[in-house]
Amino acid sequence: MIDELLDGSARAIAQAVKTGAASAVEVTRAALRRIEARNGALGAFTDVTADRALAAAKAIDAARERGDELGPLAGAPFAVKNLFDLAGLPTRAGSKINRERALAAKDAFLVSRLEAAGAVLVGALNMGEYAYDFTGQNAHDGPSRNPHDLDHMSGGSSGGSGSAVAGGLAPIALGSDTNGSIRVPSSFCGVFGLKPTYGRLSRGGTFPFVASLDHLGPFARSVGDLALAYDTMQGRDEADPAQADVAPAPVSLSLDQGIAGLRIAKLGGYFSCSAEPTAFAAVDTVAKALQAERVVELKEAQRARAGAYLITMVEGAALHLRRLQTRAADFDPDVRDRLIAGAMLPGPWITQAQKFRRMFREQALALFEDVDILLAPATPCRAPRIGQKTIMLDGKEMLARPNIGVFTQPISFIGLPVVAAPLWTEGERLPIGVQIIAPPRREDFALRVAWAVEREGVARAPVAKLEASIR
Amino acid sequence: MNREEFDPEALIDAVVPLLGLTLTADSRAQTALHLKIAAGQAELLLSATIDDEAEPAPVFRP
Repeated sequence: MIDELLDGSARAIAQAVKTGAASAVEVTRAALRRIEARNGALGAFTDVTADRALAAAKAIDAARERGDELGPLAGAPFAVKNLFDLAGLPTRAGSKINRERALAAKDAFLVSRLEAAGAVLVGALNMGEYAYDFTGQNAHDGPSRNPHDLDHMSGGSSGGSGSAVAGGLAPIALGSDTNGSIRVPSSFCGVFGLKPTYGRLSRGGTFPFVASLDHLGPFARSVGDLALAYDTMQGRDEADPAQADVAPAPVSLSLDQGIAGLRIAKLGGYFSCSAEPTAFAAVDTVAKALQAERVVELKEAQRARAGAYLITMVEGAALHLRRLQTRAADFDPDVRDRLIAGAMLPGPWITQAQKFRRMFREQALALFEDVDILLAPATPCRAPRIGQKTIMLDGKEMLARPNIGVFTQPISFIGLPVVAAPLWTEGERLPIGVQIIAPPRREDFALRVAWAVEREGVARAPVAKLEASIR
Repeated sequence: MNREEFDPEALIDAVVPLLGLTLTADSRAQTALHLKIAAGQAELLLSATIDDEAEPAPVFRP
């Protein structure tokens, strides 16, 4: 029964704990056993917080014994990308250098919010160094692997988050997304991911990458869990100066409105070129299920991607310049040399990119006067093999690393909320994701559409069928 | 921009001392490659028509 719970939703676990059908300690012990059994093959976790998890679970069971009301995520395991501060651990952010930092004195804001709702932290997750990655590979900790095919990438940079959720190690994980780092692992690992509006969730207590573009958000195997995690984490935190001063807007209770009243269109132009046919087929499948026949264009997306690319290089370089000066040999070379190049770019390019960002935002807002949801591929292909350097797009061999985020970068450039929904093709082991994109601060629209697509059975996020030896 | 004439090696030579960096041969070659890629992205971006009055995207709120 516990195994079935761990394969199910966080909400089902909380319900079982609340009714006494399972104790939080039983669930936590089972989750920790799973992590121990599977993590060697998956490489999803870099730290397992077993003692902390068991203490939290015992406190939840004690609260139930006393008759206290339990939170909506009572007893549900969760884990976070290792750029989130966890009290007592160094915030390594995928790097070798950061693990020499002082231990974090307190937890990141979002970790505290989930724990306040009863969720049980079980550990920290592998990621690409300093979040500058789309592959899920890490030069220091090894790759996080795709649970649906261990020879393939999990996607990055929140690779451990995708791997942990798809591998059944936790029903909810947190990640960050600067250019696609939630949506890419969601697509490759076949789980739901939410990148909220820029400024919606606090980044307090996390190691940054690109202040202009950094977002945090959840991964889950169901839209209901994704929405509940998002609702739980909303709230004002003075520690994040970019957080918008807006009231929490819970979405869970609106999911069953589905697509009623929503105008949905596919993105054409830039978003209908330079990908494998399976990426467009996935979008078509979702559009068909939603009876969305319109195709609209978000003009200048290619320039938007260029702007995101350059801002990322320069802000990343500024963040890491001192470490590049003193610890260059301790970086992952693939990350280091992009950062060094970023330090050398002319200043006017970045001001131009930030000006263009505002113009592109205005174009998107104009488009949203006529449509509520835009559909686009999440990635141009299914997960490549680990170590694979190139992918074939439109018959041309292209570098994999810079091109995996070709469809996610223009969207996060202007901070739009997106749900990545995973689709499966019969006969294929690996999934591919579709971006469900909404206007700013309308996470409810994106989640309602994702919920409708999940309910129709078009998108789904099953736990991977792992070989018996690593179950 | 004249990207054809852009010499990333010359840029690296000029700014490495200014930035206080030391590059290995491997790192230098990869940095040059990334500079070329960035120049391509910048060429596209800089060809956009942007008004003098255009404000950068808002983030800072006093």
